[in-house]
Amino acid sequence: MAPICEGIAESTVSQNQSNPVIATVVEILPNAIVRLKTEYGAEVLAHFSAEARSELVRLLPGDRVKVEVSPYHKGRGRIVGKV
Amino acid sequence: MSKTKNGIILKTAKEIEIIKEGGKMLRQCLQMVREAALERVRTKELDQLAYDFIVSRGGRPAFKGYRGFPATLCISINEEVVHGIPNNRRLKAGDIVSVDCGLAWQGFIADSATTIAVGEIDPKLQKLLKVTEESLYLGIEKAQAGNYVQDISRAVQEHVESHGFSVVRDLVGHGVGKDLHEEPQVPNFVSKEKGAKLEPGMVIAIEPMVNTGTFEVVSKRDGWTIVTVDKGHSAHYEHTVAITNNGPMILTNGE
Repeated sequence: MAPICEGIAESTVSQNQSNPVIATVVEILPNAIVRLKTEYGAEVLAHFSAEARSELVRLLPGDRVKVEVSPYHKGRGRIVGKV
Repeated sequence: MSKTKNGIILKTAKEIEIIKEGGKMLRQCLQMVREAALERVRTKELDQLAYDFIVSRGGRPAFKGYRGFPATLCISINEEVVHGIPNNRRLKAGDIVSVDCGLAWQGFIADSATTIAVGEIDPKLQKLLKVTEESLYLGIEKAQAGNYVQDISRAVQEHVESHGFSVVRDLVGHGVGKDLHEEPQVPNFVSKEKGAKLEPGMVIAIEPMVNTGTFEVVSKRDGWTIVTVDKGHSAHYEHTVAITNNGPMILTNGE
């Protein structure tokens, strides 16, 4: 049985990640949290991923972003980039 | 307390002999499964055969109950890479089936795997199986005291990629002994980490997993089965190998 590779940078541990959906920014809250509305109408409270943090500085309500909606926690997500 | 080197548990010559005995039984078990893997056979039936074989000879199937895994064998067909759970699926001609098994014997575990062709298979798949098996043995050749884990990884990766196949990155080989998964990790690809230095007394499971398409894999909703992202076929071979002063000793080839 093969264990999952740990700690080696090249490994892309892709386990049950949600596909990113496009959402519009409704409001920007403190601590890098953003309220979004997905194109399917769902309201999502999302945080900025470390990779996408630099986009936060220029983000305005009405902008469109890519968000991975959590399969475990309804209405939460992770912003992975701008559209 | 067993001797350790940098967190890697070293086994005495006696302990290696015990693993070898278990490895011989494991080899016979896999041979039996290979001969039973015909068209229309259900994967569950193969699992039952392996279970009966092991238990009747006083061994213990090491996968059953490990982190909740429900069966004796991992049976992975075609685009399934590893950790397939045996079920009512029937084998078809043209399938490639990788069978992975762990056997606990007198407190020590041997881990081995092989890929079986059901009936006639596509020449490209025949090449996949051949290259994967060859890469295992090329990796084993490098399992010498004084080498690093990375030397094994390099041998596997270069052989596989020179034939146009890809090496799975998310899953790795591993040390084995009293536990199924011990230090060190044995990746099948080269990275910045040289990995552990190989010393006599180490016992590792080298298990190249090779895909026809991209190396990327993802797990299925059952929480166990790993499949290729592009649905390309995948082959898997594995041996448990002891590092000795006289070179690598394969413990799971029945010799």
